[in-house]
Parts: sequence; structure tokens; C-alpha cells
Amino acid sequence: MTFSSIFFLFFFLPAVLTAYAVSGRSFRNLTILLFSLVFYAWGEGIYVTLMLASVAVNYIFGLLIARSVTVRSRKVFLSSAIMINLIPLIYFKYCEFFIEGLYQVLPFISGDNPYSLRSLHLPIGISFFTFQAMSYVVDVFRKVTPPQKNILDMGLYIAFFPQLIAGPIVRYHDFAGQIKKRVVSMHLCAAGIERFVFGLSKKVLLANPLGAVADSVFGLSGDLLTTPTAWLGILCYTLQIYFDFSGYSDMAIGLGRIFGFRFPENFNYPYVSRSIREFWQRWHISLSSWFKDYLYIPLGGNRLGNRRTAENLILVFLLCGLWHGANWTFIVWGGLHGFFIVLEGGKAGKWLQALPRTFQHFYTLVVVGITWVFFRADTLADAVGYFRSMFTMKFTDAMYPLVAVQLDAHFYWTLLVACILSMPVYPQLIKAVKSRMTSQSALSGMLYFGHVPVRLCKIGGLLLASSMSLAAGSYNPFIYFRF
Amino acid sequence: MRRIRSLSITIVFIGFIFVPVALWLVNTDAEFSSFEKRRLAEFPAPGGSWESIASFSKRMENYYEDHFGLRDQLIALYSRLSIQLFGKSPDSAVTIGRDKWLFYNAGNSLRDFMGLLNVDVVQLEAWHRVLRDRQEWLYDQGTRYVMCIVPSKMMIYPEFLPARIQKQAGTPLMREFLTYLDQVGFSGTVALRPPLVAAKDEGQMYFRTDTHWNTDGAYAAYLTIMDKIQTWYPDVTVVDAARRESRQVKFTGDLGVMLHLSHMLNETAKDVTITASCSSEKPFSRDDFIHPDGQLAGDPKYFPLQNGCPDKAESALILHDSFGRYMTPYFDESFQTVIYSQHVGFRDLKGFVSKVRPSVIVDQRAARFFFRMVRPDPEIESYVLRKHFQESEDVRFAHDRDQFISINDIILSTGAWGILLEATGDDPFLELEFDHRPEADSFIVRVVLTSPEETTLQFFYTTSEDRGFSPERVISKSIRKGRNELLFRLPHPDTRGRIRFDPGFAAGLYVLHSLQIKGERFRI
Repeated sequence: MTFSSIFFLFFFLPAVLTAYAVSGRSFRNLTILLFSLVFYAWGEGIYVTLMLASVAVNYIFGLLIARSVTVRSRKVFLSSAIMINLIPLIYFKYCEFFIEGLYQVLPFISGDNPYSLRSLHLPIGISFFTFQAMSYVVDVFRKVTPPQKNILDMGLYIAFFPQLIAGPIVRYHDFAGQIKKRVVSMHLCAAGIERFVFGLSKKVLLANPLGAVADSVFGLSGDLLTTPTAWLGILCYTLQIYFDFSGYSDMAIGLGRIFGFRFPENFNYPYVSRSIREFWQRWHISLSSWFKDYLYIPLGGNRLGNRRTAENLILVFLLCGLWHGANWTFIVWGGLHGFFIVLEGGKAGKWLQALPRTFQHFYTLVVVGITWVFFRADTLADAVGYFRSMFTMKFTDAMYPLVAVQLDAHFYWTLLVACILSMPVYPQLIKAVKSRMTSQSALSGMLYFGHVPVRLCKIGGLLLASSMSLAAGSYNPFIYFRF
Repeated sequence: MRRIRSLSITIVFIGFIFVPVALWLVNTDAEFSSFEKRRLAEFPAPGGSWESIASFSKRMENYYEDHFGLRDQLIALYSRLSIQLFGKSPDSAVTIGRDKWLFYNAGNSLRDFMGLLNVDVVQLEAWHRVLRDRQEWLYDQGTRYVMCIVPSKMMIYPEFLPARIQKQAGTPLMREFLTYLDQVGFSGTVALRPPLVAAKDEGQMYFRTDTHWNTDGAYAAYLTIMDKIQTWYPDVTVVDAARRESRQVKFTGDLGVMLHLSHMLNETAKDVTITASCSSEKPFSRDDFIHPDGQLAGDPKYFPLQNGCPDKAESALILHDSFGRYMTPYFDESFQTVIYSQHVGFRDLKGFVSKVRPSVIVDQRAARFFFRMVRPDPEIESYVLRKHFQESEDVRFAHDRDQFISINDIILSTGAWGILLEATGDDPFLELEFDHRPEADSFIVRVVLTSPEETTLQFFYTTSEDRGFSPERVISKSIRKGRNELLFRLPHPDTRGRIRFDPGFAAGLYVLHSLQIKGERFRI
């Protein structure tokens, strides 16, 4: 079940809100926990037990670490907890990748791979809840936070449905206090609703139509892919992945607020960055800060000289790529980002800073856009083929007809709106309106009284448009009767 | 003010997400959707099996997506806004063109319009031979055969398509096939596109909001088909245009309904009646549809209908789809007996045809379904092949071991029963020079072979463009252990050079009783 589905919006969400409203202060956490488990089991079935096991294991190890007296035993318990957390992640997500890699690397292994795990199901959100769980035991080890003594609260931290399957990755010390004490107010709820509706609209009205064109382009074989088509495809994908992912984060943050929780921001207009380093301060912030706090800094960070800093950065970004998926394409994607960040840390970074801002934006967008090819392609060979089309100036053939017919007025409007909204135009506009409202003029009065209906229309309009689009997705007509 | 804002946003949101579930709770579930023309999902029964439990969530979501409250209203509003704001169809199966002309583009229609459905000459030739054999089989029973493919609306009215689609126009498969049939001299075709395009000046030939042609389009097609039939049966008369009496009616086509916008996408259409009609329905007896083996020809509810005018000459069997329904009033007036079959195809009606022996069969299909009319019929193919092989004196390869130019993994000897082929390796084959002279339309191969095992016989051939043997140019036939007799055509119309004969993959002794290739001439 995804947030951008009819069933979630018009069935699950009303049900959980009703239950939350009637459960009272004492049972509201239990209510959310139960609905979170139903939410996960609804899509993943028996794999909900994996998540429950994660809750139990980390609960126990948290207590064991906290109660240990010696540093050695604390380290043993921490290492054990991390290993136990990583076992299911490696098994379900990376095992097949590693075994296939062995078959390719080791010449003495030949024949068919007898350990093929192709049919293995990858439990959704396993990367997210595993990282959250690991951050908990590490924080307890570092004494940043005391251990959780209530297993139900621990369960709520791991399983809380708004951020369960696509983040943001919430740190335990940010969440723990809110489990016990949080304010559920009308204002926070309205702010959450607004954020949720924005996220839903980003996903349904922008990411999905752009994704349809990107899918068509990336589905073309190399001989059918011309240079303009390839660039159009990567432009669409660049916008799709941003609005898809940030839309989902917005929905998660919004839902959290409706229940009184505050989650960290995950995106901050990454495409206005002027360097790859800045890009990672704005893109999937909860993941990059997780890697920084739990991997980069423990490895030594930038404290051990330039060479070691560069090695640390490359390693962190290779693992960051691998975290996104068990495929060489993700590793190369992560490696390239690491490489550019290392580059920016040296002389090249100083040259870059000396250049006009427009060029800095251009550089970042080109690097980010081009590396998305690796992220989107199924194999490295596909990515190389795609690059060939992007850079070999194939202008001779017309655009492939089945892509060309998708480029209608709706697509161009979507592309235009997406380009505008990928920049911080909307917050600037709101800021400008607010500054006008504080002045003593007739316009400020109009804005003051007029902004409520305008805002209401905006929320209602976006909710209606998204719902219509989702409803249209359930419409499945036939030209002949199928009774 | 902040409180008012927060309260109003919360009320709007809560109201919006609760109304659909509340309406779902109070309303009775609909079983069918007339817009979608399908049965809606039923509430999932939570069965006891593991599969049932595992699939419950998916089934429940499917059910809820079909039944939540305000579904129809949201879909209709989406359709309306999509059209009015962007001129875009809300359903990918329908394209909205200029002046709100609707085009059906699912089922490969769009790809076909763009010329993206490519087939090679072997496939075109295979389809041609299916029609050719059918034509001859029917001719031998005294029945003429005429095949017509109805062009899609895109092919007749491309000027109403959106510019971005219009400029992607290519050669549709139907046109490619008809051109090929013309080249090889197949006489059983009626090309409907030229008369329909020509008649556009006199009026609209297709509905604006429907996939089909209208009564004028059907009449133009009827006249073209009857022109063809009159070359065989000059006494058959056609319905004169003066007998067509029309009135204007309001009409919403299937595409308008599909978009859930019947009230917005409708048009005025002609409803035509034939004056002084002589036609009357004639009931069938169930016995008419019983095969010699006692089996019924298909489902009784789809049995053909019979009509006609008693004072007319000749009889016709019209095999048709939904386009054909618009031509029935005209055909009714032209024949003494006219039988319509929309749902039972030619293959299932062979017994019926042999019994009734109509003067003519009109085989009509929409362009996107024309594949259905060229499905091979082994029984008819075998009949024609045997006949032609026996009649042909144009021998291109006689059963002669001296004509083999190359031998591999085979020890060749001659025995009382034929040429003995002892396969000694894993790639046994014989090569022979093939005499390709242009006098023949096609070539028939007859192989009589005794095999030591159940295996696959292969026949590689070369063409003027491809002089080497390749897996793309091969005929493979499964053969059983013991004696096999095979009769088949060389599939490529330009087979020339060499032929490689692989008796089978199994090692052992094969006996080649006969291997002959003869030139074939089409009779009709």
C-alpha cells in the first residue's frame, strides 16, 4: 500500500484517523503501532515478522548495552546488534548480487549458479528500518540517549507507518521524546494536512506523468534513441525522481505532523545547488546525515589528512550507492558522486567557486543529471548505451513515434511547472506575501483576509486534482463488453 | 485568523477523505460498469487457503478501487478537465483529435498507423497462401471468396488526428499486405480505403465519437464489395442510393462512452432505413450446425443469423465483426439468402459451408483484427497441396542421389526401399542444387522418410539476398519413429541457390523413400 493510492487515501487513512481520535491519550501510541503493523502486513504479509524481530532484537540489545559495565562488553553487544541487523538486509537485498559477483570474478567457479536467489522477495522498507534500528543501538552505545524500556514504544519507533517504507530516516533521540510527550494541535494537524497534500500532488500530478515519458525513453533500444530524446529522457527522470521522492517525504512528514510528530526535513531544493557537496546537503538529507554520523565520522572523517579524507568519502559514497540497490549501476552512481565531492575538496573546488554562479549551477545540474543515468539504467551496459546516444550527436532520425506522441500540451505544462517548482519559487512567493501582509496598506488587509480562502482553494484543488488522477487510474474501460 | 485557517483546512481534508468511505458503506455495490463495459471486482472472500490469505489485500484493494464513493464523479470530472484544459484524452486507449474527433488507439492501432508493425516477406507470403488456399478450397465447392479489411478511422481521417501523431504516419500493415496481394495477383481482395477516402467529399464516413464507420461509410464499402461480386454474378443487384431514407438522431459512440463523457462527446448521426424492403428473417435449424462428427459448430448463442429476399438470386455468407453490422440492411436486399456470422469464424464453419454451399463468402474484419482471418488451416492447406503436387509436372528436384552436391556425417547407399542415409555424427545433412526458374508461383516439397527415432527434420534454404544457410531460413518439422510423409511449401517466394536437408538429429539409419520438389501454379 502506497500513500498515493485510493485505498490508502480513502480507506486506511480515514480508519487510522478515526481510531486515533477515539483511542484517547493512553492508547494512541498503541493504536498507531497496530495500524502500522497492519499497514506493513497489508503489503508484505508474513515479512511483518521480520520487522517485529528487528524491534525485539534492538530492544534487547539496547538494554544489554545500557546495562553493561565494561567498554568491552558494550562493544561486543553493539557489534552483535549491528551484525544481526545487517544479516536480513544482506540476505534479502545483497546476497544474490554478491554470489553472482563471485561467479564472475572467480575463474575456478563455473557453470550455472546453484545458489540463485532470484525468487527471493525483498521486504519493502528493509533498508530504512534497518538503518533506523542501527542508529538506535549506536546512540544507546554512545550514551546519546537512554535505552527504551517499553517494547511497544520501541515498536512504534521502528514501525511507525508514515516513515516506514521511504523515510525520512528518523533518529531515535529525535523521536523518543515525542513518543511520550507530543502536542496534537489543530495548527500542527492543518500544517501536516497541507504538507501531505503537497506531497501527494508532487507524486501524482508531476512525478507520474514525467515518469511515463522517462520510462518510454529509457525503454528504447540504442538504435532508436536519438540525442534529443536521450536528453529529454534524463530531464524527465531528473524531475521525476525529485518529485517522487520528495513528494513521498512530504507525505511522510505531513502524516507525522497530523499525529503530532515532527520529522526531519529530507529535501531542500537540491537542484539549486552549486556543487555536489551542496547537493548532498539538500538531497535525502536524513540518509546523508546518517552516513556522516554513523560511518564517515567514525572512519575518521576529515581529521586524518587529505588522502584519508578522500578515501573515506569515496567509501561512504560507494556504500551509499549500494544502499540504494544491489546493482553495479548504483555503486558507480555513488562512486561518481564521491569522486566529484573529493574533487571539489581540492583545487578544482576553488576554481569552481571562482566561476560565475550560473556556471556552478550548470556544472552541478549536468553532473547530477548525467549520474542519474546510472541510477535509472538496469545495467552498466544500458547506461553506457544511453551515454552513447546522449553524446554522439544522433540528430538524423526523428524522435521515436511512440515517445513523440506522448509530448502533448499536458506534458509540456507538467514539465514547465516541475521545472519552476524544483526551484524555491513557491517559498519566495509566500515570503513576499507575508512581508506584504505585515505592512499597513490596503493590499495587506486584502492579503490578510484573502489568504485563507486562497489557501483553502489551493489545498482543496490539489487534493481534488490528485484524487481525480488516482480515480482515473482505477478506470479500466473496454471497447467491447467483458461481462 | 490562524485558527480559522487551520480549522477550515482540517474540515475540508477530513470531509474529502471520509465522504468516499462513507458512501461506500451506505451504498449497494454495483455489479457492472456500463461505462467500462466490464464486471466490477467483487468483495474478496477470505478463504482458508494460504494463497487466498496472501492475495486478500490485493483483491481488497482492487475491489475498493472499483467501488469507493464518488468514483464515477471523480473520473467524469477528470475526463472533462483533461479534455477542456489540455485537449488530452483521459484514457490512453483513446486519442482526441481536432474538432473532438475520437480515435481508438489501443491494441496496436497507433503503432500500426505509424508503420511500426513490420513483418517480413515470408510472413506476408504465408498469409497470402492461407487466403489463396481458402479461395481454392471454396472454389472447388462452387463458392467464391472475397476478403475485405476495414481501415481504421485513423487511416481514413488522419487530418483530424493531433498534429504530433499525424506527422508520425507510416505504412500500416494492412496497406503493406494489400499491396503485396496486388503484386502476387491475388484476386479475392476488395480494397476499401480508396472508395472510403473518395466518398469523404460527399459526406462523413465514420462517426466522430465511435470506432466504426457510419451508415454512409458502410454503404460505400457495400457498393465496392458488390462491384466485386457482380464480376462473378452479374445478376446480383445492389441497393440504389435513392432507396436509402435517412433521419437525424443524437448519438454517442463507444469512444465517448469509454471516456465517461456521453453527455459532452456526442454527435448527430444518420439513421437509414431502406424503402420498399423485401428482406425477411429466416430461422435456422440446430441441425444446420452439426458437423459430420456429431459435434455442434460452436456455442449456440453465437450461431449465425439468416435473412434475404425471396425474389433475388444467389446466396452469401458474410463473416463479419462489428463493422459488418452496418452493412447488413444492404446485403439483406441483394441476395436470396444471406447468412451472417459475427462470432463463429471460417474454420468452425467449414462443415456448414460444405453443406450450404453459398454462392459467395464475404470475409470482413477491422484492420486491427485482420490477423484473425489469415490463421492457417492445416486441413485446407493439405487439400490444396496434395492436389497441386499431383497435378504439377514441373519437377525441380527428382529423387536422385546423384543430385546431392554435398554430404556431411552421412554414409549414403541405395537400398530396395529408397536411399539409405546412415547418420554417423551429430550434424548429418545433404545439400542439393535447387533449380529456380521463374515459371512457378511457389514450390512444394514432398518428403517420405523412415526415421530411426522421433526427431526433427530440417530444410534450410537460400535466397537471392541471403546465399548462406542460417537459422532464420529453415523449415522444421517434427517426425515420428517410422515412416513419415510430409508435404509443405518453401516459405520464401524468392528461394534459389541451394537447399540443405537435415533428416534428423538422431543417429542411425534413415530411409529416404522420396524427396521431390515441384513448381506450383496458382489456379485462381
